[in-house]
Amino acid sequence: MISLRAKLSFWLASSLIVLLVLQWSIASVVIQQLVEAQLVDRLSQDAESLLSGIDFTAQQPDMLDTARVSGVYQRPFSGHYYVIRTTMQAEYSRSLWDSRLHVPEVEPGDQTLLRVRGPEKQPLLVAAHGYRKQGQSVTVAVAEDLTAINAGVRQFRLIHGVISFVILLALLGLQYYIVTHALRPLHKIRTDMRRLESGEIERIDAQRAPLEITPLIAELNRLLSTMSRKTRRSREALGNLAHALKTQLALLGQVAAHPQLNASPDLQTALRDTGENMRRIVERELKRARLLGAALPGKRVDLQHEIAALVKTLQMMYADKQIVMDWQVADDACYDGDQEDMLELLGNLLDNACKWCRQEMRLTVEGGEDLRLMVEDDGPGCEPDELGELTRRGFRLDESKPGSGLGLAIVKDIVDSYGGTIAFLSSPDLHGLRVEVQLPHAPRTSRPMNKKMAP
Amino acid sequence: MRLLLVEDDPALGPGIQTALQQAGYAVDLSVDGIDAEAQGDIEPYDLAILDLGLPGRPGLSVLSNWRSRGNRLPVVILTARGSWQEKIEGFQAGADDYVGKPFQMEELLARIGAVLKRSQGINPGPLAYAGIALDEATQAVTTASGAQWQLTGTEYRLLRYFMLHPGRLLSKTELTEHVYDNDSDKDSNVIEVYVNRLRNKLGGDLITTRRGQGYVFGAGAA
Repeated sequence: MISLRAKLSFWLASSLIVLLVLQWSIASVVIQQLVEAQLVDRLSQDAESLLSGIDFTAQQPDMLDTARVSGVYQRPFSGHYYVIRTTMQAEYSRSLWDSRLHVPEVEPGDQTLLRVRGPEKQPLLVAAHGYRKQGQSVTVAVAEDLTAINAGVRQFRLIHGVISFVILLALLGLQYYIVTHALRPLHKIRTDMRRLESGEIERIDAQRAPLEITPLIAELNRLLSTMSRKTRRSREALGNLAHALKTQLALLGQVAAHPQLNASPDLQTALRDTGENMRRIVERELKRARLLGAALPGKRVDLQHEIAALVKTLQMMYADKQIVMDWQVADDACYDGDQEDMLELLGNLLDNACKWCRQEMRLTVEGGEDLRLMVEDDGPGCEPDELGELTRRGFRLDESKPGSGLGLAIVKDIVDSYGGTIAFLSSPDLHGLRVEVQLPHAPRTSRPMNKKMAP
Repeated sequence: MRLLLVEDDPALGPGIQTALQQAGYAVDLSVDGIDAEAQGDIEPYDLAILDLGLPGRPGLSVLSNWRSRGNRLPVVILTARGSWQEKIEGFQAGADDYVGKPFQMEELLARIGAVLKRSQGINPGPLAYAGIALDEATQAVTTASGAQWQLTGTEYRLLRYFMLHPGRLLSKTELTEHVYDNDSDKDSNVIEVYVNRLRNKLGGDLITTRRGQGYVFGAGAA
């Protein structure tokens, strides 16, 4: 699993850092070079003016007329020094005091740059120029202390670095916002998907989605609607088939009951039994085929509402029996499968309970991790060794009451198609049968993510 | 008891009609939703048996139209649409019972009998009044003295109507309407003949004549 967000953030942040470090380094180097070039320029000018003060013809011990030399070269350890060398002698500025600078001789017309340690171990930049004056080769080297300049450059670097860092932070913040903002539609779609699964919405809104994922959403919506249309159509077709077959079977039943057949009761029984078997097959198989199971994202079923309607219906159906129907649905109970499946499941369970109860029937629906349905009645219940037989197709433990014996078998089919469990017990309160059904929630492909992950 | 049977299947409809007639009901058959709705509003039926998949107008619409106009005609839905969803919709539309196809005729008759009794506020079970018991399966009556009489079709229908409406003044016209179907030759004078036959079997004081008005069965007769 890759996260678009993490990937985008990582690469954007990395490139941003590299870029800023690079520009900072280049700026530092360039500024250093610029400052030094200026310094060298100034040193050259100083060298030129020193050169003009040199006179070999005066026959003085000093070659240089010190009166013409700038004051900074006179003050000891001022940071500005010079050395004038000929082949015979060397003359040092007064500022050097009694320390000496070692400068190589430079050919006339050449220039050499040196970095040496000065009298107080300061770093010096020395520009040595070679000249020819009055027929003599002379090397004029002018040096300047780099401490102040270096400090200036360092300060510049520091300030520049701090500003770059602040800019980096600001850009990272901006980038975080941009990434989050750009990916917000995706997050919305993820939320929509969850709502789709839980049946709160029927399709994903492509209106505000970015251009890049609109085709994806459109395709998903198309698939969803095709699927639900196909399901609806096949359900309708199955319903019509069942309808047609059952009408014909009703006719067959009438034929079997025709007075002309009274003479041959064997034939009558055979006809009736065949019809009854066909009816069971149609009922069971078509109901089974109509089951949706947890395949499609369903519409959220309002359990309270559906159960109320169902109980009302059963009260009408068993109006003569005056059954006390007690039902309770926990607030957190929710079901996100197919509504018709749920009605079929509950309808058959409650119908069975109503059929067998003396006068009381109870339904409890509990939520939580799984959906739990419990149906109890105060009827005769069931022998422990017969409990397993209850869901067998067409099996009727008591032939004395009308019914196809299919109800609980259909319930079992529905429970199986949802991957749930069903258990038949005896009711401790009502002393009749107690049926417990447990339905797991539809497996979520996208469980709600950690809160911290969601933007 | 006069029933309206609404069933569009050309073979099943007449079949059920015959079976219901044999069970002692006057039955009109309608094969179309629109006609059925009009008939149910005009004729004084005691109960309607309604298929849901009808040409012209779906059975559920027919039923809700009746109910929205205040027609309280008891309705038993007879359909091959057997899902719980459809059952709930049927009852919500105002049905009194719901029988799934295919069905056993005995079951349909039992349900019709139960709905008829319920609609008259009479307890379910065998129809009995003042020691007189009417066996709906054999169409025989047992009097308070223990004597048993086999009834003819019309006698049975008439007595059952009386027993379902004890203590109520019933005009000859009303009795005729509920005992005969549309196709019968209705002559209200015939009712007098049948009332007299019933008096012979059950004793003279059970059915009293209100001159110019009609008959009263049982209590309130005095």
